[in-house]
Amino acid sequence: MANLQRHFELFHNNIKVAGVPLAEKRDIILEVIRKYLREKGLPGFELINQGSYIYGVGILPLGDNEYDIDVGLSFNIKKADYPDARVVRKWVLDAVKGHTNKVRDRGPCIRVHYAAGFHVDLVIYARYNSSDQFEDLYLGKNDGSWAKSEPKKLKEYINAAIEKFGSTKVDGGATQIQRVTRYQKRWNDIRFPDDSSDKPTGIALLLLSIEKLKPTLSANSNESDDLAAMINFCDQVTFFFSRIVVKKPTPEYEDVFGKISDAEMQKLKDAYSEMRKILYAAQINSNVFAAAESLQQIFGDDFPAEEEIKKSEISAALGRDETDSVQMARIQALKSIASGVKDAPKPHSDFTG
Amino acid sequence: MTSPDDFLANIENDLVNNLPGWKIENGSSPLAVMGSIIIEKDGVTLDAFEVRVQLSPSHPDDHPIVYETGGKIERIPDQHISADGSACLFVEDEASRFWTEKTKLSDFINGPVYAYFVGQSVFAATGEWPFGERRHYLAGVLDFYREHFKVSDPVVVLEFLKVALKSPVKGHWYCPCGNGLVLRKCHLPEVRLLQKIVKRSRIISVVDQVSKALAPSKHT
Repeated sequence: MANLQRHFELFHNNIKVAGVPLAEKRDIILEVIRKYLREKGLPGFELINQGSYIYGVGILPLGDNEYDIDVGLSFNIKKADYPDARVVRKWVLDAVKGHTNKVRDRGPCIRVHYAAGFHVDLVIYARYNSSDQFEDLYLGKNDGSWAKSEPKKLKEYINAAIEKFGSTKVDGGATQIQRVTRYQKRWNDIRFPDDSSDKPTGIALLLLSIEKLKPTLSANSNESDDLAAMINFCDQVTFFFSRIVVKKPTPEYEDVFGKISDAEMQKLKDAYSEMRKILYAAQINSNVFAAAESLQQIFGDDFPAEEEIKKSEISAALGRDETDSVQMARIQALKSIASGVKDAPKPHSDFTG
Repeated sequence: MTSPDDFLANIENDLVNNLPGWKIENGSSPLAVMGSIIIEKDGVTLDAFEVRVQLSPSHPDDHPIVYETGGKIERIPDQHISADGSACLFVEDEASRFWTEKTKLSDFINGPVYAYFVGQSVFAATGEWPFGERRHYLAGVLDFYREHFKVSDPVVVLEFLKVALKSPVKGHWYCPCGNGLVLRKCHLPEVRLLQKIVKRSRIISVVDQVSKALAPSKHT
């Protein structure tokens, strides 16, 4: 049986969004909007951090696609005072016009594109506090309507789910559910290189993972076993003949897979079955090289080949400045020292006995 | 009986003569020494670890505890190191191979401790443990006993350990390995050897842990 956990962890490192350039851009644009609202004497807003970046499931886009950041702008206004949400959306649109050369008024958000290949999605909310405990939030859509929304509750729901996977954290602090969601998102991007209503959204894949994924550790150690977790997950997803249905846990409680056509839903389920088949074949393959290579079929080139794993282990150990020949010489010398050590014990991990 | 001053002087001498650069840590109790494990070949330093070795509270009956203090090794079970940096050099059950009450501290550090860090260095560079590794936790302990008795079934291992706890062990008892022979014609030497090399208290603890692990799980 191939142990591919290191491969999965390196794959995760290869695809996750890291660093803060998006957060910096977000802060700049928020300042632009705040300044505009102040100057025009319009109501201010509070920031609601939301979206994949905040949930720790953001991934790098493929090819020319943009990566994104979602920001909620929660205006302290009664929706009854602004029955047409487009009025409030226009404040934001006018504020960001000219900030970059491409601003789009989309369904649930205002999308500000940056030339550097990413965009910030601004989501507008009207917030009405009837008491300290009670907060009413409505999302302003571009058809002028307000829809009840609970982004903070959704965040709490997601954070609680992530917390249940606490024992599966690895180096960077991502839990198994965050890693598995990212794997699926990359798989999804490979299946659907462009935006399409038949493409499951990132939040749909995350909510599906919350519903179906179980924390999975290796039988022999406390190490996460992402491969086994995904196989079991695919089994759960494809178990029923009916459509995949996952209701959002907050208003409007819609099925997050609801927009996918029946034909595409069948293809999606077939794709999960196919993925399961390939994952299982990799799991039982005793040849790690071949197993890793087979997973590139579904996850693409960012899934590391065995050679890359060895290279990453060695470079992590030796520092990245050394040349290959120096590294190899050092390894040879270390091995030669080890071969001269007599009566060496086998290290153990016994912290309890 | 060695006086405390002689004891300290002996350790100091041992360090000066056999572990240059190593020092006794001020004020630690039990006594601890600190220094570097340098892994070098032909005068070239390939790797180095900052290490602290503290005598056991039950010194010299039990082996010293070894800590990697430089933070170079990730504190995870797969690295055979605990969260506080203490190194898991071997399964406790085979400790007598590497430490007796007569073992000099320098022999311990230049022997199994040095080997441990060579292993760490090779693992960091290649992903392989040059001397092998024990499986984590109880599984690794069981493997030690499996090798000792040359049996695979953990139930049989448990029976052997129970026999080893008896005193005296009678040669006419049937051997737990199940081949139908009496102990004196079968595994008696292994049982006797085990009684010599593993402390009774440790065997009791392992019997307890293995019994719990083998007990059928209760479903409600």
